[in-house]
Amino acid sequence: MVIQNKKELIEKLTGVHSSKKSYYVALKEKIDELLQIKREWEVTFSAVTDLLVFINRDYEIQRVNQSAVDFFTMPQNELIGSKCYQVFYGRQDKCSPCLADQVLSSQKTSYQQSRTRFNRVLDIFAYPAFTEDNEAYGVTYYAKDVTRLIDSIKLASMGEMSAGVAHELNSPLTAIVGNSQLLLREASPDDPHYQLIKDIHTSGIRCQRIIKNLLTFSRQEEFTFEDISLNAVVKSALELAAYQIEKSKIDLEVNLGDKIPPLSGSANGIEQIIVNLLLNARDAVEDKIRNEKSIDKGTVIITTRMHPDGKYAIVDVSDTGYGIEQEHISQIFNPFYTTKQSGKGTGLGLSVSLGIAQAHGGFIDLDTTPGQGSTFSLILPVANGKTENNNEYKPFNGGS
Amino acid sequence: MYISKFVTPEIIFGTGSLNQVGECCSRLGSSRVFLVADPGVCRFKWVEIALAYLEEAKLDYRLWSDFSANPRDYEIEEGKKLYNKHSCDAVLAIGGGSAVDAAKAVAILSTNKGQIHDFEGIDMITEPLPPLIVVPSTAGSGAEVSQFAIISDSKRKIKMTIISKSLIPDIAVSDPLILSTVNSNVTAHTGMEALSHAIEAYLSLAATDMTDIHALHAIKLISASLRSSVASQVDEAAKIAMGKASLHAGIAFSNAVLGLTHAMTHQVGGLLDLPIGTINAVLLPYVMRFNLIACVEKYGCIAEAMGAQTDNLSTREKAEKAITMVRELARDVGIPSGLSELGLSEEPIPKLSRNAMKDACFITNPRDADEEDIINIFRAALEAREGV
Repeated sequence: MVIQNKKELIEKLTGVHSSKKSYYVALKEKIDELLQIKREWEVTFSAVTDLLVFINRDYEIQRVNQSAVDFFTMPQNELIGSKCYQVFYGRQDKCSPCLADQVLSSQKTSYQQSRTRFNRVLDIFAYPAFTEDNEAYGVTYYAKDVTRLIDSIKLASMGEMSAGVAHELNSPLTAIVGNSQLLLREASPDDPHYQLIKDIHTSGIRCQRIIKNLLTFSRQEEFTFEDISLNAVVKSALELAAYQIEKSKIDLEVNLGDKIPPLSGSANGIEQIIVNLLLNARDAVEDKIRNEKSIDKGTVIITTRMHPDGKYAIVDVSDTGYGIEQEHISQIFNPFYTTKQSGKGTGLGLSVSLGIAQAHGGFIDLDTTPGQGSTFSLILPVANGKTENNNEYKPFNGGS
Repeated sequence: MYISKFVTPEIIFGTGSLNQVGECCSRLGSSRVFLVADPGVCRFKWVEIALAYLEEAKLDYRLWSDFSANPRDYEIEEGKKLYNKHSCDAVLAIGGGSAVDAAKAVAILSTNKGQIHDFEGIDMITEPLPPLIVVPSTAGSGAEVSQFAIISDSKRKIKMTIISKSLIPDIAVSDPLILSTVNSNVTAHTGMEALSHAIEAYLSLAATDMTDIHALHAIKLISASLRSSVASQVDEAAKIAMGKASLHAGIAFSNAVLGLTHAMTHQVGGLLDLPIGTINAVLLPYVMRFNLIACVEKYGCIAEAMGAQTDNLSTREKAEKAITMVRELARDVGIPSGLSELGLSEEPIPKLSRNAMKDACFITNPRDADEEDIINIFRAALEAREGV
């Protein structure tokens, strides 16, 4: 027993069962603890649906949350290290005035609302980040995408305003159109004033169409549904638009498919969509011809056909214009969004068209190749397939 | 057969190796070094030189040298406060056994909660210590490689022994150049301390083949070089040999532990403020006499390592030679032959003997001893009686 005790005592003394206390164990515990904290923060930040972006004093992005990655459609590793003005506004130089500078020099929270890339409006709150020595070393941006809110406020007021204006204009226009009609009836085509009066009449009609558009947009007008022939509607639209296209010395190609069953819908509404698409196609081609001073005329092609599944009838309107840049695609169906020069477009055409198409259980699809042209496709369910819409055919872009 | 274990720090040895300290500290991840230096070493500019190397490695530092030759508990407490105040992250000790013990104790308190008393005994340290780098300035304590630290308890007036693998430094940098600056008296008692480490480790119950090799080699080096090292402070070969001897003795005793000589020395040291090495050196031959019958053959090996002429001698006669050789060496380098010369009286001996039995070093002594035996050894040493 004594021997056993002695043995144990000596083993204890020489430290057979003990080792130098290692920092590795302590370090590992610390690392695990920090990783856990890191994970918790990441979960917290990615749960925030608004954008969180941290930049250093050189305006370089250091950290972002998932919402920011999604918003800027850039991978995280590309975002990190990029300058904030480049990522937010696509600028090559610092903004003036610069929100970060303001925060860094005042060391106080600051706020601004600004329109960023992709035509989005952000409410940006900027907070200074301090070192232990109370020195600001960076700025945290907390940004909320308020585009929809801003636009809906704008839309609501625009809607109200346009409805009012439309009503006010309707009475004088009725007089202009009606009276010019009367004058035309009485005037002989040889009358030197005949062409002038005719222009007044056509322009009056055009004004009425614009007003109708505005009313459609602001009231989402109800349509009267009836059985219609798609080809007949296209022909009627061509009567209105063909002249406009050919007048611009653009070739127009019409391919009307056969065996298209009747649709249930509003002839006026659908005609309006097709006219819109045709005039947009013309503008696109004209734009290219003018810019490139090309002697090639350019072409607009309108085609009607059935979707292979037999449930949808399709009108394709193709142009040989510039096509649409990726960054604009998500915007073109938004009301008041236009890339045309001011006076040329209201930014209502496509949004109104999409509204009408949707009221018919249809969509407008887009296939575009930048530099080469676009094809807009109006897709409408045929009468017997009307009950099973939306879920069957997924449009390339449903717009908004 | 005991289960054994053998641990050493990283060892850097060589003339001029002091220039490694900066790199050593930064290699261990330090940015602000707590430099513990003997006041004596400070006088010889070694500290200044070491600081230059720290600066070269772009390290911040805080120098501390406010501790006694046998560091006290309250001094350690002050050192710890200073360490924390300056947010140091490594301990570098340059000096003799006291500086190293003080450095180890501050290192303990810097990461472990409590007072230094809480860590007395075996394996009481629970938290890892900051990186510890030791540059010995004396060839003897072996603290640069050992798992021991000895701190004075100012209230109980005893020396506390702290034993833990955590006290083994991360790096020992041994530069024989530094050894040349201590005076001949220090060279003598630290050299004898190294010899007592080597002999007691060699005779220890926990000795293994690995510790024996180091112990015997240390005995051989000390016997050959201590005299010339004491004789001349500029004998470089002797300094190099003593530097090596200190390392080997340190490695041996750190792993094999010691014996009764040290158990007794620690008690006297708590009472008289004397260098451990001197007390050790006086006690060693008396304890060797008592222990002889436990390991006669090993005594013969010690005699041979010390260069004794052993041809035609019996095993018993050879063993006797070992004691004679130790006495001769001690006498040659100026060590007193009895404890009364050091100022010890008869009166405290029973108490010292009782406490010696509680000392950790007593566990590995090769011969069982009771209080009476220890009292007898003390008395013999007091009166300088050669035979017990």
